[in-house]
Amino acid sequence: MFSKKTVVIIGVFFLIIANILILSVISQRFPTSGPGGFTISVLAPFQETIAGTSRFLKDIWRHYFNLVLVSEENDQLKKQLARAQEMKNEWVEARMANDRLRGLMDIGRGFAQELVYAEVIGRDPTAWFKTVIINKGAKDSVAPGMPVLVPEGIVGQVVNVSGHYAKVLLIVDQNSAVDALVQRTRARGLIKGEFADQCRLEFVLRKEDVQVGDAIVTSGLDKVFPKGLPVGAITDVVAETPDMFYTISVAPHVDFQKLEELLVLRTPMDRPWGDDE
Amino acid sequence: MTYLFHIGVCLVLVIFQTAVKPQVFFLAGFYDILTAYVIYLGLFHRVRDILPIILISGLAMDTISGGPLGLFLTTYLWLFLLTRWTTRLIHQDNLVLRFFIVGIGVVIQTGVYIGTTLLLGNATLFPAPTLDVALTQTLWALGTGAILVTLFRYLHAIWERFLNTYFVRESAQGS
Repeated sequence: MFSKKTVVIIGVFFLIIANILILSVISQRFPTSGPGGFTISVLAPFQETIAGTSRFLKDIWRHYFNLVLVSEENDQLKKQLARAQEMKNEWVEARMANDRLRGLMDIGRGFAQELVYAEVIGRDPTAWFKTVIINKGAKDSVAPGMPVLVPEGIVGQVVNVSGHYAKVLLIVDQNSAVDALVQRTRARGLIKGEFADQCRLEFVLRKEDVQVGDAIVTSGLDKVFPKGLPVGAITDVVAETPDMFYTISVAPHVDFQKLEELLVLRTPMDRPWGDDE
Repeated sequence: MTYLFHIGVCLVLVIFQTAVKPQVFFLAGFYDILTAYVIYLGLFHRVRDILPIILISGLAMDTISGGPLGLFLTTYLWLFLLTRWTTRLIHQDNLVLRFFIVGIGVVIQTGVYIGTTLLLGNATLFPAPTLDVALTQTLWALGTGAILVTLFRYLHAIWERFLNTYFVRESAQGS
């Protein structure tokens, strides 16, 4: 009745329909136990182990690369930080130098004489004497006897000069002596250097009114320093000795350990300070 | 050539003391390193070879320092002669001598400085800071003197070796 070909086509058609029906029935009732569950429970631990290992290796790989990248970034950031730090230091140094130079300029306006700006390039080789070497000398018209100042007060006087350098005897050296006044009472004395960057005021009569904290200024009578320049402040007054003079300790205003820039005041040799008063 | 070495070392030491040492805060109480060098010269060199070096270094220090002129020259000369005299009594390689000699030298030097200052009437007798400085310098000298002397000797040995290998070979080739 039907040809062989027609039978095959109808058979295939029914097989497809049956297959679809079976698949749709099985998928609606997915087995969570039985042979399917058993298979899963056997395979899953391995899968889990492999998946975990794979994830672990991936993480290591990813972190390694991350670390490499982070390390490189860290190096770059460190370099940037170092550069920034360096720039900051330069900026701070420049600002401090600017402040110091501004102070030197301000002090310079107070004098009619020419001021020579100088830098400290060396210090006394021993702790027993207090001198500094500056980078200005005879070629810059610096001569022995010229006073040296900073905005805080007097520093010392030039004692030796070569072509481009000069030696400055600081007021805290034991060989130094500066004629000075107690600013409040005008009591006169002699500032001499002491150890440990301190000074003492000598030859102040005990009849004078002298108190701790009094400011000491130059008198101008030594013909080296102009009158009225700050020297320091009295830190101790002793009157118990049988001497006719006080024993007075003075702390200079200038920090001699931190001297960097200073000014040499060019004083005409034929017009000493004392004559101006 | 040996003079060149000694003058070079003295120059380096003077520069170090005036420009580098003041910048290093913990070296503030350090003694005059040239003292150690003068003692080294006294231990291992003859008077006639070294006298000009002592004169030059003493005058250099006198020029740079704020002390009375001739103070360093005098001190170095005396230290050198005393060291030479000591080597007549004790062998220069004696470890006890090596350990103490710079310390003793610094004490003598300090004594000369304080004595001179007092003689000139510029200081009160032994104020506390003076003793502090003297003690600190002596301790530094005891701690580092022997090392410095050994170092100077080692440097000189290297210099001599250099001269022998370079100049002697050159002069041999020339002849």
